[in-house]
This record gives sequence, structure tokens and C-alpha cells, in this order.
Amino acid sequence: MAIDKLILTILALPLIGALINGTMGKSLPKIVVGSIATGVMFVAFALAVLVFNSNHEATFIHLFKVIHLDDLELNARLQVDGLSTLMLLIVTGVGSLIHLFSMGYMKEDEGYYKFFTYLNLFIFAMLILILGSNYFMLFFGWEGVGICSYLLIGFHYSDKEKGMLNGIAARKAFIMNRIGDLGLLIALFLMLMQFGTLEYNEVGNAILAGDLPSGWMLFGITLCLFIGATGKSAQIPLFTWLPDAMAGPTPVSALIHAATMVTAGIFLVVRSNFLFEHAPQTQEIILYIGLATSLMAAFMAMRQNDIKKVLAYSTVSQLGFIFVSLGMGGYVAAMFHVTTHAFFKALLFLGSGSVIHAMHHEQDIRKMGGLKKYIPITHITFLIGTCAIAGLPFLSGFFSKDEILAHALHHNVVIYVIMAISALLTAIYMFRLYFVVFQGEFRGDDHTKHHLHESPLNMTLPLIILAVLSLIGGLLNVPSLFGGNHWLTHYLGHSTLGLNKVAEVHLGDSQTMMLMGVASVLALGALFFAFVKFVKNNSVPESDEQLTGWAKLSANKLYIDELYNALFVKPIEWISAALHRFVEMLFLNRLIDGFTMVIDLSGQLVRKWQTGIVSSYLFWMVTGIVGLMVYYIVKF
Amino acid sequence: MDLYLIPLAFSLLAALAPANLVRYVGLTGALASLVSVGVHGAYYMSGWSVVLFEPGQVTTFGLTFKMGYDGISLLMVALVNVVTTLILLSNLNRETASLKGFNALVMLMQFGLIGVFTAMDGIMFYVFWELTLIPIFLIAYWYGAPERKPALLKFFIYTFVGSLAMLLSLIALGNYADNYSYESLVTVELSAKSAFWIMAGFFLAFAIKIPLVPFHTWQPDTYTLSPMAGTMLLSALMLKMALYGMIRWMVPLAPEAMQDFTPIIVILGIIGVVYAALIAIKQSDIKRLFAFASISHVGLIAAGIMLFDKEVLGASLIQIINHSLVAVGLFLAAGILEDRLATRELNQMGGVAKLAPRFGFWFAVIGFASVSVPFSSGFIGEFLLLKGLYGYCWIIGLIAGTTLVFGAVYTFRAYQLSMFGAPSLESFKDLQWNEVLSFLIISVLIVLIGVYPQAILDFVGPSLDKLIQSTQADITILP
Amino acid sequence: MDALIVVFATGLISMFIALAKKPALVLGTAVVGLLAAITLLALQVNHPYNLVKYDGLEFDGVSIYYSIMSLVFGLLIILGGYSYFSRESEHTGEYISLILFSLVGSMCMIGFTDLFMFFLGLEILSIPVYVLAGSNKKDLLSTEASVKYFFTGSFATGILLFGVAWLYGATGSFAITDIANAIGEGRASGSMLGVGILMIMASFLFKVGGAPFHFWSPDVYGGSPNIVTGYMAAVVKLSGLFAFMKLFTFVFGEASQIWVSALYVLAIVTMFVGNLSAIRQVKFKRILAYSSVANAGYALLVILPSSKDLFSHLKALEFLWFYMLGYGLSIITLIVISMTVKNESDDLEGFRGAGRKNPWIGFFFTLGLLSIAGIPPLAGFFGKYMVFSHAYKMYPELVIIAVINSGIGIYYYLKIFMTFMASDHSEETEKPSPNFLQYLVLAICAIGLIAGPFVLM
Repeated sequence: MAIDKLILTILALPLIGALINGTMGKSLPKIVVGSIATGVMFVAFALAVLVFNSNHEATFIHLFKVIHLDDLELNARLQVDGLSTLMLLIVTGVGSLIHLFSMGYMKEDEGYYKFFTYLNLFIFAMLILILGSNYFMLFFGWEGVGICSYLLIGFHYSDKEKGMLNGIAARKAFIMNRIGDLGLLIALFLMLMQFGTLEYNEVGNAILAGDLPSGWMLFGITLCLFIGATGKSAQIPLFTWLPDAMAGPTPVSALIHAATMVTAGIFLVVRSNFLFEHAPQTQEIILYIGLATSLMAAFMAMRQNDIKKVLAYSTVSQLGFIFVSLGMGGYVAAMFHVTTHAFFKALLFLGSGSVIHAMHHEQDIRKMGGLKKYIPITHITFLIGTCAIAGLPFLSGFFSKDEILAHALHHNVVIYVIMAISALLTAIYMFRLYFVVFQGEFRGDDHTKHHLHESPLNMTLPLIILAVLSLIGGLLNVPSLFGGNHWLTHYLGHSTLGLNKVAEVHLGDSQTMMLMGVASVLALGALFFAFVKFVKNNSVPESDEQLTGWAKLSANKLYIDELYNALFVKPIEWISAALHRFVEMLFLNRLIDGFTMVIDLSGQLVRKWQTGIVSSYLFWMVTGIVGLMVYYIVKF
Repeated sequence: MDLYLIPLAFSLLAALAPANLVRYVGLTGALASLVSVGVHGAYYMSGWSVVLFEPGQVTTFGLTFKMGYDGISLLMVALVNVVTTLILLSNLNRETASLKGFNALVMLMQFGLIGVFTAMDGIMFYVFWELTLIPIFLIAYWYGAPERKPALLKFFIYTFVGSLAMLLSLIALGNYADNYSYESLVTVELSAKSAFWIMAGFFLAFAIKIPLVPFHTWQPDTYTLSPMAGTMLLSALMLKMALYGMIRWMVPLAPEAMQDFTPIIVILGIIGVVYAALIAIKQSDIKRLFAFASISHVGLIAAGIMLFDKEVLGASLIQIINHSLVAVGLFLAAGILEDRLATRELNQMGGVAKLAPRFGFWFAVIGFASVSVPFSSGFIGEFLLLKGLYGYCWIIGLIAGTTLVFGAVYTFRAYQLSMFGAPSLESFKDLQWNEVLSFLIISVLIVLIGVYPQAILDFVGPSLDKLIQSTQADITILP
Repeated sequence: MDALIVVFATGLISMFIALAKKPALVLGTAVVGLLAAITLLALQVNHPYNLVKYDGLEFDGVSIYYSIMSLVFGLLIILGGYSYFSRESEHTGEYISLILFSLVGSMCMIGFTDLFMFFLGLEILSIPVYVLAGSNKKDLLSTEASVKYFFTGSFATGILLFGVAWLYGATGSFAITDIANAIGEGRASGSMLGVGILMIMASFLFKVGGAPFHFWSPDVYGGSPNIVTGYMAAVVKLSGLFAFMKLFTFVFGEASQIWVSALYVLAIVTMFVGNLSAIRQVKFKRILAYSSVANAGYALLVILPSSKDLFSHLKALEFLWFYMLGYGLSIITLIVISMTVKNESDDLEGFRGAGRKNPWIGFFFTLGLLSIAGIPPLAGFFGKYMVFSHAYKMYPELVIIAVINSGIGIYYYLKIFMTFMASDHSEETEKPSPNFLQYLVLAICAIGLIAGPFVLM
């Protein structure tokens, strides 16, 4: 099949799945619904592999003109190059595994068909996001994934206790994303004004040909793009929605809020690398925001007791990590970490899903413990995931993190140190999570204990596959030290505009050795520390009230939510009420009423003139005549 | 002529039909009109100006009776006929639909609206403009909520006074022109001062009808207390007359005053966008909330129109269509809730989505459309409008852009408070076929336009070119 | 001229036929006579000829148009009021012939060429109306109205005569062409002329209900039997305004500096007094009375000369004709409908929901009311529009004031409308049940209101 047909088929598959399930899913048996949704995903993945195999140059597929007015031309057009192929593989690959997992996980849910419809729709939107050849298409997908995210976070909207809360979490996610979208939109407008087009290629070629806009313009465009990215990829200041988004079913967290959608911001920056390369101020901003996010989220994750919340903050932290890399121009390193992160974070989330499934939807890690006996496959895979994210030597996370750290070292030692601390914290809280959940004694009630069971094959199989990927994913871009040839660097650089021009940082073997040594030591140290604290001393996280100092700050997420509430939400609600009460009701309405009142009062006055007595009528008539006479005399 | 005669004839027919048939008479009439406009559309070649009625004789005071359409008008007429059909269809299972008066008035309203959009003579425009006021007033007055009277009094007087300002402008303009036909009014050359006052008169009429902040105080109460069909007519069609009036009459007739007026209207529009959105955030009455939302949305369109280039005008037209469709959908949802829960208070609702999944689904679709997500017509419209405003002045564009955020806040608040949570009721009657069909048609149209807006842009493009040329030519003549 | 004779003869015949105590016969005679007169006039529209020549009267194009309107209004009033006139069969003939005689006066006022004939016409027009106003003998208000009208009316007549005398002193003639020439050639000027013109203006203002000479109208309109109110509002006002305009633009036009600014101010006062006073009224006919004051104010806008050329004057006359067409048809519609609802007290509330109980009545009522309020596409709107656009050329500020007044006016019109068309059915309101003739009148008015502007313009 030609590449354009392949791509179109890939694009159409999830849409077809969504259509079938959306219209008929209610009457179909669950197994059929799930199989259709998952089936299309696997086929899409297979086709994506074909694309990967056959494509070496950037290819464009023109669909139709969305808007064509005089100078303005916005097209529905697709672009297949290294970057989008890589994302395509991640989205369809990880996506199909998560679909498979969901078939088991959501089995009891009455909204089964809806769930799969939304999942397929999400994949469709995500594919548009990554396959579009211009920022306009990207924006289409960008908002599209936002909707699906909204729908899926609030999936259990009619839950007795949490229904409204789920809805509010979903709304929060959507609105925070919208704030970011506004930034992205303005970036689009600026680009249209500056370049007259939104095609990546045309913008990129103009820039690469040296046709640079003014520094402020570039700064504005890139900054606005980055604001968009902070919304979608949960960076400071728009990150608080992501932990709340854990209200959605766990596969959703794995798919959308770990592996795919949240990486859209990174994808955007990588896609626009040619712009960012010429906007050093923005790069600085990205660097520091990423750094702060990474450290802060890692700190917050330390004291979370909800299994998914830990992973959520971990995601935020990792994304921050990646943004640091972007801020330093390490685009390939960033994509490398995106890829490995997709593997192990999806694995961890699905693993947590399996745990939650076993625990009858209990998410508090204080009520778990010793689960390794009951759910062995989940245990092993989760352990692999933990090791990978902690950066234990030779697992996928080790390599990808190492590349970013190499960039940091090359850039600035202080940044390197801070990132190393962040990585250390990551390892600590991840091992804390692992030990508290899987080691020690079970702390839940007997009823739950009685029902603890390993998940069925359709749930464990994705875990196993992802575990394998987490183990070996680092091979994608193995440094030369281990006989690798930076395959990903070459693959991306080959056909993705701009990436071939950017100088990747590759340290010498000795430096690499040193870096890896430090990283290994840190990870192993964290492992040891957590082991001592949580297994040897068998300490269980305290309940929230007992926490003091830093721990309390961590558990309460630095009070950022409260801060935002006080800074934005409350004032806006107050302004809304005040506007309605004072401006609308007391001023504008009264103003209009005032007009009518004046008229009414004058009506009252004039009425008094009419007395009903003939003599007064005659009097006024005489007055009128006299008046006319006076007028005449005065005038003439 | 069929465009006028069909609604008029069916209006009469509905007034005389037997009671058990009357609801179908109305719907048949709307469908027949739809077919007739479809035929006109099929024969229409982009860029034509079609004359429907021209007796060729001018009365002593300059009335020419001229009626006709170009691409823009025909698009609006099509919108009127589609929306009227939708309104009658969505009301089909309601008590109002079985009333002769209701059907007759809706058809009369349709007649008036078609007249407004096809008038090629200043006086005829005014005549039809005012003609629409009576049916909508009666619909709201006869079938509205019990406490409606003061609100409707205010509505009528307010809009009537606005129209009088337009009348003054027409009288003043007629003073300079040979007659009131559109061509001769457009070619009038005005001094900057008289152009300013003439545009001011038109603006007052349109600003009240749209309504723009601060001329909007009649709107929330009227929308809230009108019956469902009345609110739909008001928001989906009536206010579009004013937006159309800005495009067709206000700016082209006195383009000399554009320089002075553009900032005023743009700023008022943007203030409205933010102000109404902010107020909508805390409203607890669902219809009132949507009423303020409507003010917020149309403020953006009005601001965009004043930039008067092809992009924003095209976008405005798309957004006009989008807003009409969305308004019908939203007020249908609000009407269903009000009807079946016997309250408009959001705080007393909840859990409906669980009891009525079909309703939950379609309400969500319309909700998304109203926050202009991609694949919906609102997205294209808002994208281009914001782009235009951003190009005009970046701060204004930025402020206008907040509509994206606030829109999501209040729409989802309304949706979630009513639909989410645990059900508080035993049961909730899910959508009936006519309601589902209405939602379906609305959604399909919204998605079609959202994915391929070029169809509409091609349809109106040449007419827009002509319109813009005529205004620019006018400006350059006078220094 | 011949039409005048026909109407007069019809009046006489009706009176005699009334002896037979067969109201229907009287009605038939009157209708036939009026139709004949209208036909005669219509035949002369394009070819004016005079069967009997008399210097004091001349019916040319414009006055024929006005006479036809006057007679048509009279006919509609007779048809619509037949149920009232025939309540006491012995008086039917008197009432109808009084109206016919009054119509003769109206025609004299329209066709006059000298002031003597004009005065005669005014009196022939007015005296029957004084009587008719008191025709509801059981109703004290009716008698009061009659007396009040008579008192104030005689006073106004006195002023008119006084003014005519001064005018005669200034110009030495009663014939309007002579007067016009005298003024035009500058032979007549000075205070004799000025005072004469202003006196005549005052009496005209009385007749058409302009401030501050309008005080009689609420009481008289309110107290008179409904149909008589309709006659006063339609025919009397029409004749008065036409004569007003004929005298002031064609005869006193050259001396306009004397009276224009006075009339300008009084027009403003009239509009405001009429509209503002109406706002708080609760009685139907009183509102109509104030509305008629306000409408007189609008009509004064065309009497103010917009330019000196004859063509513009003729145009103004045409516009006034359209204006009165809309106003007259509307007021007849409203009055006839008010007769069909049993509501002795005439309180607005007594009409609550009447338009909903009988949808046809509701329909006609809507037309009449919207037309009088000046809402398109009805005749009333076009009349107003013509008047306003004509006056705009010279007096834009005045038009703005008039438009503001229209805005104020909509308030009470809407109040009537909302009461009449209310859907909350008041039990007290009976279903309006017009007789055939009333339906006929309403239908004719409706056709006139809807099609009138489009056919006649």
C-alpha cells in the first residue's frame, strides 16, 4: 500500500471504531465492543509499523482546503516524517495495549461502549495532532484530545459520592487546557501575520533560509507556543489539573495522562524546533520552568498516598525533565525520553490499575502492602517499571535520562545538580511506592484480602509487553560507549525539518561513563534508602494529620490549589457576582428604569393639568391666546 | 416570490386549520419553505444579485418596494428556513405546537425574517424589521412564563425605541438620496458628521437588538421568561437580523463613519464578551445563563463585523449560522430541563444524564459546539474572528480570546450541574424522536460546516467582495 | 358640488324615512346616498367639473380626495355605529341624518374658497356633533361631554370669527385667493394680519386638539358614545387639519414668519402633552383622546411649511391625506371593536383578554392598534413616515422630538395591546360579538390598513 493510503487508513480506523461503538455499541455484547475498539487499534499499529518500514523521506498528503480566502489558506493536510512516525508508533502501540487492558479493567462498567468510543475518538484526535502538516491541524487535534480527556476524566459522572467531583476535575482539566490553548491560538495568529502560513514546512524553510522575523516576534511566537505546551503537558503554572485528572478510569490515566496526550506539548516544541532555536530567551524560560516543575512535582510526589496521585506527580515531574532538555536544545533526547516514558509510565499506570482492580477500587497505599504474593505478574512488571523510571542501570529510563543529564552537564553544572536531585527524588518516591504497596504485610480489611486476585490475561499481557519494552527501550538510542550508534538521533534527524540542523550533544565516552556512574549510584542509593525505611523499619506513611513541616507541605501539594483558588477562582466568582449585582442590576437596569420613571412622573404631572372643569379649560384657552398675542408683540 | 408566499400562506392556513392538524401544518410550511430556498440555492450562482420583486415605480416619498438577494442574503434566508424548521420540529411534542396562534405566528415571523434578509429598499427593510417584532412579542406574551409581563413590556419598548433611531437615520439618509432603493442609498456621499449620526442611529437599533452591552438589559429577562420557541426565535433568528443589518446596511450606507465607529463597536463588543461571560459564570437559572452566554458570543461577532474585511465577514457569517444552531440546541436542552423538572434552577437539578442518557449525550454535543471545539462550526468562526481582532489590536484580541476559557467555564458548569452527579429524581423522560432529530440535524450541520467551511465561504465570497468594494469606493470619493 | 347636494339630500330623506320607524330603511338610504356621493366624487377625480357653480366652494383634485376620505369615514361610522343608533328606533333617523349633515359641513370645510363658507362649514360640522355627543341620554357623562364641547366650542368659534374679522380688516376680503394675493403682494401686513392669523390658528388648534386648546378632548371623547368619539377623531379631525393646512400653507404661506415659530412650539407641546398624559390613563377612550392629541401634534409637522414652492405644498397635502387615512381607519377599527365589548365603565381592564376570546377581533384590533402606534407595515406607519420625512428637510430637530414621542407613545399603546390580547382569561370579559355590519367595517378597515399604502401610494 502506498504511504498515503496507509496513513489514511490508520486515521480512519479509530474513527470507524468510534462510530460503530458510538452508534450501535449499546446493543452489542461487551466482548464485541471491546474487540472492535481494540482490533482497530492493533490494525492501526500494524499499519504504522508498515509506514515506519517504508518511509524514509517526509511525505505530505493533501486532503482538502478548510479555509481559502484570498491570502489565507488553511489546509487539511498530513505530514509523515520521522517525528510523526515515532509518535504514530507510540500512540498506536501503547494505545492498543491500553485498549486491550481496558477490555478487562472496564468489564463491569455499564458505560463500557461509551468508554471505548471515547478512547477511539481520543486516538483519532491524537493522530490528527501528530500527523497534521500545519499548526492549524495540530490545533484541531490539540483541542480534540482535550475534549476526549474531559469526557474520560469525568467518565463516572453519576457516581453517588464522587460523580460531581469527577465532573469538576474534568472541567478543571478542560479549562486549564483552554488557557494554554489561548496561548497556542495567539501563537498561530502571530505566525499567520508573520509568515502568512501555518505549514510547518513553509515556516521552517523560511526560518532556515535565514528569513528571520524580529527578535520580539520570535520571542512572542515561541512563548505563546510554550504557553500552549504548559497547558497540555502540565507544566508550571498550568499543571494542577493533571493530578486531579486521575479521577478518570486508570487506563485513561495511562493512555492520555501519561503516555500520549501530555506529550503533545513536547511534540509541539520539537516540531517547532526551528523557531525555538532562534529564540534563546524562550529556551531559557522553558529550561527554568521545566526544572522547577520537575523538582516541585517530585517533591509533591514524596508524600502522596494515593497510588495514582504518586504516578501523576511523577508524570508531571518527568515532563518537566523533558522540558529542561528542550530548553537546552536537546530535542532528540527529549523524544527519546518521551518514548521510554511512554513505555514505563503506561506500564506503571496499568500496573496500578491492576492493583486497584485487585483491591476493589481502593487507591490508598496505606491500605495495601504485601501484594506481591497475591498478584505476582503485576508485581514483577511494576517492579520493572519502577526500576526503569528510577533510572537503574541499563533499563530504558537509564539511557534516556542520561542523555538529558548529559545535555545539562554540557549546559550548566548547577542545572545538572538540580536535575540529579530531581532524579534522586524520583527514585525515592517510586521505590517508596513500590515497597509500601508490594512488600510488607497486607493492611487492608479481610474482605478485600479474601478477594485479592491476579488480573486476567488481557490485562496482564499488556503489562508484560510494556515491561519488556521498558527493559529494552533504551536500545533505541544507545550511546557509542555501549556500541550503539544513536539510531533515534539519525532517524529523527533524517527527515524531520530542523532536527538535522540542531547540534546534538554527545559527550565523550569517559564523561558518559562518569555520568552513568553517578546516576547509577543515585538510583541505587535511593533504592537502599527506601528499602531501609519502608521494608526494614516497616514504616507505613502517616495519616495526613500527623505530618509536619516539609512532609506536610509535600502532602498538601505546596498548597498550590488553594493558592490558585484564592488568586483566580474566588476573585472571578466574586467579580461575577459583583458585576451582576451592582453593574447589571443596580446600575444598568436602574438606569433604564430611571428613564421610564422620569417619563412616568412627567406623565403624572401633565395629567394634573386636566382638571375636568370647563372654566379652567377656558382659562387655559385664554392663556393660550394671550400667549400668542404676547409672542406676536414681542416678536414684531 | 415563493420565498414570501409560502410562509405567509401557511401562516394563514395554520390560523384556519383544524386543531388536531395544526402542528403539522406549521411543520409542513417550514419544510416547504426549506425546499423553496433549496431550489433558489441550487440555481444560484455565486456572485449573482437576484431581484425578486421590483415594480419599477417609485412612490412620492421614494419607496421602491425592491426585494432581492445576493449570496449573503440567500444564506441568511436559508438559515431562517432551516432554523424555523428546527424550532417547529423541536416543539412538535409540546403543547404550544398544537395551538393555531403559535404556528401562525411562527410562520409570520418567518415571513418577516425572510423579508428583512431580502429587502433591497431601506423602507422595506424597516417594514420587515418591525414586522418581526409583533409575532415574537405575541409568542412570548401568550405562551411565556407567568411573570413575563414587565420583562416583555421592557423588551418591546426598548427594541421599538431602538428601531425608531434607525428610522431617523433612514429619514435622514433619504434626504440625500433619490429614493430608498439600496443602490441609491449606498451611493450617497455623506459628510463625516452626518455619516456619524446616521450610523449612530442604525447602531442603536442594532445594538439593542443584538444586544450589545450596555443595551442588553432587556435580554436576560426576556429570554428567560419566553417560551422555549420564543427564546429560540429571539436568539437564533431575531438577533441575526441586527448582525446582518450591520453587514448589509449600517456599514455600507455610512462607511464614512467607520473610522469613528469601529473602535466604539469593537470595544463595546469585547466588553460584552467578557462582561456577559463573567456574569454567566455565576447564574443559577439555566436559561438566564445561556442568555448571558449569548450576549457574550454575539459581542464577538459584532466586534468582528466592524473590521469589515472578507475574512472576518466570512467568519461572522459562519459564526452567525453557528450561533443560531447552537442557540436552538442549548435552549432546546434548557427547555427540556425546565419542562420535565419544572424548574430552571441549576442547583435543583442533577443526575439527569444517568436517567436520560440520550439527552445527556446530545446536550453534551451541543455544549461542546457552544464552546467551539474543533470539528464544530464555532471553531472556524471564532478562529477567524479572533484572528481578525488580534490583527486589529492584539490586546483586544487577547481579551476577546478569554471567551474560549470563560465559555468553557459556564457551559460546563451548566451542563455538569444539571446532568452530572447522582440522580435526585425517580425518572426523567428521555428525548422523543423529534427532539433527537432536531439535535441530530443541528449537530450534523455544525460538524459539516466545522469541517468544510469553505463551502459557505465560496457561496458568499463574491457577494462579500462586492459589498466591501462598494464601501471602499464610497470612502475614497470623499476626502 | 353635486356630491355635497346628494349628501345633504340623503340627510333630509333619512330624516323623513325615520318616521316609518324602520331603522334598516334609514341605514339603507344613508348608505346608498353616501355611496352615490362617493361615486360622483370618484368620477370627478381626474376631470373636475361643477354641475352647480358657486364661488364659495370648489372641489378640485386634492379636495376631492379629502372629501372621499371624509365620506368613507362617515359611511364606516354609520355602518359600525348602526347597532348604537338603532337602539332607540325613533331616534335612528335623527342620529344618522345628523351625521350626514355633519358630513356636509365637513365637505364645505374641505372645498371652501372663502372664509365665509369655511365658517359655515365649520358650524355645520360641529353643531350636529355637539348634539351627538350628548345622544346617550341616560349617561350623565355623555350629557356633560355635550355641554363641555358646546361651551368650549362656542368660545373657539368666537375666537375664529374675531380672527376672521381682523383678517378682513387687513386684507379687505373673505375670498382666500384675494387674501393670499394681498399677503403675497405685501398689501396686508402689520398687526391686523398678525393678530388675525394667530386667532384663527388658536381656533384651529382647538378643533384639531392642539395644546393648550385640547382640554375639551379627553372629557368629550371620554364621555361621548363610542361611535361619536370615532366620528370626532376621524372626520372632524380630518376636516379640521385639511382646512388648517389649506389656509395656512396656501393662504398664509407668504406670512409664515408670523405663525411658524408659534406653531413649531405648540406642536412640540401638543405631542408631549398628548403622549405624557396618556401614560397613566386607565380608560380606553381617554387614552384614545390623548392619543388623538398626540397625533394632531405629529400632523402639525406637515402644516409647518417645508419650502416655498407649490409642489412641496401639494406633496405635503398628499402626505397628510395618507396620514389621516391611517389614523382614521385605525381609530374607526378601535372604536368599533370597543363597541362590540360590553364594558360600560370603559375601563381598560374591562377589555382584558377580549382579543383572545374572539380571535378575529383580536386580529382586527392588532391591526388597528399597531397602525395607530405607527408600526409597519400598516397604513399608520406609512402616514407617519411621510409626515416625518417631509418635515425632516426643514425641521430635523422637530422630527427627532416627534420620534421620541412615538417612543413614549408606544408605552400606552402597548399597555392597551397587552390588556386586550392577554391570554389570562378574565371571566368578566364577555366574548366580543360584533354584528355583520361591524365585521364588514372592520374588514374594510383591515384591508385599508394593510393594502392601503401599497395600492394607493
